[in-house]
Amino acid sequence: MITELGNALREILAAFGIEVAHLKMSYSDLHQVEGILCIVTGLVENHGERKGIVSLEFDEAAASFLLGIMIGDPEGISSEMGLSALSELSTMVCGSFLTRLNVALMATPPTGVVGKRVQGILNTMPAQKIFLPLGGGTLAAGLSIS
Amino acid sequence: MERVQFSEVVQTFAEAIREVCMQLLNMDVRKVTEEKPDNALIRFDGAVAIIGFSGGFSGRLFLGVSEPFLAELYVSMGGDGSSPVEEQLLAVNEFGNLVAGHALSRVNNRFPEANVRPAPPSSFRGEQLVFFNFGMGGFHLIFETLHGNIEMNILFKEDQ
Amino acid sequence: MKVLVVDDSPLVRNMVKKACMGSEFEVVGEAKNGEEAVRSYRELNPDIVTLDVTMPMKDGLKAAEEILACNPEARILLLSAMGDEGLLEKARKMGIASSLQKPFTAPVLLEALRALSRG
Repeated sequence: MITELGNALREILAAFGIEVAHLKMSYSDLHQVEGILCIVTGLVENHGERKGIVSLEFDEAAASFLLGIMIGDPEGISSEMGLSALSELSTMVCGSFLTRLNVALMATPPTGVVGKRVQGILNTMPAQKIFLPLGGGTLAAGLSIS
Repeated sequence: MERVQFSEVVQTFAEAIREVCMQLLNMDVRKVTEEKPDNALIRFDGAVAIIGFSGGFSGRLFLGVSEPFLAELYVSMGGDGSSPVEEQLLAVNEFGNLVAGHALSRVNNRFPEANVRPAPPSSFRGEQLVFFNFGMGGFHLIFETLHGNIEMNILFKEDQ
Repeated sequence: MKVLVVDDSPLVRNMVKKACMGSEFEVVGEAKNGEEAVRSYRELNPDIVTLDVTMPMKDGLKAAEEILACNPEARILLLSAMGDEGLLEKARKMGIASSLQKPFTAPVLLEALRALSRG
């Protein structure tokens, strides 16, 4: 499933003219935050107990680079427009991901958080992450699901 | 499906906070403010739980707690002595899970066709944290407790 | 009586263990997901299982199904933050007669365990 999330992310980035060549993967016992800006989307099953979290986690360089392309805004993560654009990106990625999976899972609205020394546990379930080099920084897409 | 009144859902969440605080901490909480936020951003110092939900309607719950409240929460959940950051985050996580679970159970019993399911809770701490959600409307409530305030911000997807 | 505690939250597992301390219920094992729950049940043969619903690798209802297939008399206390009628009805149909909504105080948990042990 993490491969499908990576493919969904690459597909959406490609729509903005961004080609990503190399993907690194990791596994952890807890789904924790990496980066200064994180967008979290919940996954729930309509008639079942299955649930999970999809995360997009940016460092400053990756977020600024992406926003420069998406909205041409150098103030990027300091502006509401920038944060809104990244939320929309997350919605597109999750939509593409769920379509690829073709499972009866629904996405909850995305919530973003940005700040200094952000520490967070996105889910107590084990997580897999894909790391993309982006604009001199890193964008991580994470998935933890029962 | 019977039309869900979001104002009724908000009161259910408020009642859930009271119930969970009483059961877990034997602590009474008092709602002091309730307003409709006009800003997509929330700035908060403390620890926060975020829980998304979806089904007949979708949205997300934000619960922000002060450090003293977090310390009480941690002890009530079996923590003792030193409290590593990770365990504090787990305590906030569980608090959010309990409040959302209680509230959505009542919502689903009240509106059986809604079948609203909570996503796993996420918890955060940091400096100068800013939380953002766009394209949603809702309510912001502040509760007073013996150990500082709890802020609850609940948003619903506007196109449902 | 031997109790197996199943929950992906270490805090909740701790709460159950603390509640049982000094009582007639002895926690003989813990599991943090549905697969561990089924495996531990077969190894430890506890008298009672406290079982969370939402867990990684296998949820509580699926784990309960396998435990009950192994032993139809298995005593399961479902613990969940959700307590809506839909979930409870699903659990009852599976043969899980007892459930408790989290959070719970120690006396409430012990009473639920005692009621379950009386059968």
